[in-house]
Amino acid sequence: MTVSIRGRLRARPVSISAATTRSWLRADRRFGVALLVPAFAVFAVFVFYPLVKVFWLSMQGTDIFGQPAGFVGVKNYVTTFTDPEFGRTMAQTAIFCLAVVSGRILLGLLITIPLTVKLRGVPVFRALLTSPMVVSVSAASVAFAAMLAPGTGLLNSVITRFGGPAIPWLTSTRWALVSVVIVTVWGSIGFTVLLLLGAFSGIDADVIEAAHLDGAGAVRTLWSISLPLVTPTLFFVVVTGTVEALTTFGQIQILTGGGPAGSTTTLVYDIYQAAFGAASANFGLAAALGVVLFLLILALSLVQFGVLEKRVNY
Amino acid sequence: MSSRHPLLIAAAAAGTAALLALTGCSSADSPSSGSSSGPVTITFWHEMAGPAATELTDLVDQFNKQEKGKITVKASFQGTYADVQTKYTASVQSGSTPDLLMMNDVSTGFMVDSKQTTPLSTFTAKDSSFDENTFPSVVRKYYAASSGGLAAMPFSVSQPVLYLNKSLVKKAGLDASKPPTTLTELATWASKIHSSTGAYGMTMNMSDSWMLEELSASGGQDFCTPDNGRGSDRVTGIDMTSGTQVAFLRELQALFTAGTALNPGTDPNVMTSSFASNKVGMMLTSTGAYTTADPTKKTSVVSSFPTTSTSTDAGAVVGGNALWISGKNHSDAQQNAAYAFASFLHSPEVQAEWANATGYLASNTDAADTTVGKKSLADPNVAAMYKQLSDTPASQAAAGCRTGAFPTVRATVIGAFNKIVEGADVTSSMKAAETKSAEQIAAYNTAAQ
Repeated sequence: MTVSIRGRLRARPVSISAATTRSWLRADRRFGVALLVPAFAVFAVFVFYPLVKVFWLSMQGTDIFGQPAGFVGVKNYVTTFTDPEFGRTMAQTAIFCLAVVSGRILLGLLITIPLTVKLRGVPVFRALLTSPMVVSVSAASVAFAAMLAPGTGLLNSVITRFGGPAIPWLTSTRWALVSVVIVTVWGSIGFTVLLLLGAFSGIDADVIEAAHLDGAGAVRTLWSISLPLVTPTLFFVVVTGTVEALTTFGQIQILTGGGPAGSTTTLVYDIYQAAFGAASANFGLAAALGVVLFLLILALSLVQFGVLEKRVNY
Repeated sequence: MSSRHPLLIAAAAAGTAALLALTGCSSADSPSSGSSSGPVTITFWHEMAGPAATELTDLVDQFNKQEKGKITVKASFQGTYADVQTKYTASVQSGSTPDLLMMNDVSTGFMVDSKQTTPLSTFTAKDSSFDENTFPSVVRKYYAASSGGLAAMPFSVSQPVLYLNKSLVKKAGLDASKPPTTLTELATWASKIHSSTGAYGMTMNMSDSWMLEELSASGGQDFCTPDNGRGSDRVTGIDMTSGTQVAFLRELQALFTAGTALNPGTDPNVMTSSFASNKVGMMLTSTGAYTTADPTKKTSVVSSFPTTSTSTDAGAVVGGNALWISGKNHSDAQQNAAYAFASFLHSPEVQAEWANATGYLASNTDAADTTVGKKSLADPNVAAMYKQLSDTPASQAAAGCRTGAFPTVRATVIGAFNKIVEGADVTSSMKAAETKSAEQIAAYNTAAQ
């Protein structure tokens, strides 16, 4: 097959003559369209159709079986935006995203920079420090839930043994979000370190050597040479990390169930609650919240690509 | 190679992908066929896991053997109660509801509103061998149908009780044979245990607002308005700010803010394991926790749930689950077979076995006279649980609330309580929860129309 495609390309190089562009029926065009069809079919069924359906559902009422119960206009959106807890949910979502992304970047750099040193044994540490990557979110959350459990948790046993106060990790409105952030950062740090290690090892040794010859110290080299050169990777981590944090679900579900008192409810968890939480089955409201999330991610991605990308040294 | 082949392959791939996707979307489980003669196979959905699931499977096998050639019950575990309610709503949409459904206490309002089931009394009225008086009176009241009789077959019954850790109570210089009977006494005990042993004085189930509803009922106070939904009108709101309720909420708040009480979070297993490992002196939770809280049945004393006010209406609301017989889209033969299995599960011997294996209380009072029942009752802790069940009056307060919005409302109320245990103002927090609950109930009532 490869041979035949090559043959075609050689026989008919790209032509822009009017006669050929007019007709899509030409064999190679048909072939091109046919190649697109499978991908488009899958996208249509699993992306475009659900997307349209969500917009449609968001303007429908819902009966107790979760079935659409007639057009209600923007009622679900009004319910969403007039709910006093919606503002708090959005604020918590923002705090959560900021904390997780900055935690990943700062901790990721703190771990990666020492690992770039060429010393015996460093590869072992590299493997160890990237290992959280292979632990599933659910497994990690269950393990952390046991460690942070009130009364019987390992962490509090250690703290109280040394005379500290028992911290209500998962049961206090002040601590629960912090705990979810810690677990999330822990879970994503492996992949972050892996990416950053790749970025740092990709820096041309000549550039670093030139900096040293010019009299730059280790800190100066790191700050003015290495860090600017890994900004594309940092940018990638910020963009994907933000979207990942915005769509976090597993940790919240397993550790706190959005509580206590809604203190760990983020936008995604709110969607789940409206659709499936406490047997609610309000798919209309859930769809409206889903649209809000979609627009939020879209806007954030545009901003990130527009603003952050300008500051990246490629 | 012909130049047409790639095109064909691509088109075929696209077609297959689209077909696969389409078949994946239309979940068309047809309802089980309903022939009126010959052997009947019925589907039964349940939510039992662990030892309870093993016991239930045994009971199903026993029934299938007994009814060989006539009825076959196909039982399947479907997940947690919340999961099953979601699956059940989906099955209503696709017209593939199970013949028999196990559903928990708080979903009773939803099940009644769903109008998918045939009331139990339709079958028991034709069955002279069935005596509805074998249910404890408060259980009968809980599952009462608006048309009279029972809406569903009560299967597993639980009660909220007070567990005392014998060794911690003794260390505190208290006498476990004279346990506290009121919440105020319980608070005094909790402080004593905490100050003299360093362990937490008490803990309580906080996965939802269930304990707060029970503390309301144990003071003779309705949780829902009007009339706990037991009158002719639908529930439109909740009450958590009456004098009795504010008083017990303040008492609990003091225990939590002082560090005397342990907040176990949403996982009841954390609570029972803290109690079992001597980290907590007293615990308010279900009778169903007995086997995990005290596996040896020797280290704890089970006592009746504390009262919050003296009232003749005061009592403990029953928990547990019931069996619902599907009516809509199910043949008479299927419905009768489902009833036959449900009434088998109600027989005294089966109920005694079930209670013994799971920690639930028997929903058939005759179970006490069976060999297994007598053996269970020899344990004073188990006897205490049954005494509380039989002592509970069939009052409106003890019947508990019935609304289809119950699961949602519970999440709201426990949210407010979580703020209260951190020191937030009792009245204003609960007022806010009342407002939000009223909105949630209104939304549900609109959806249920």
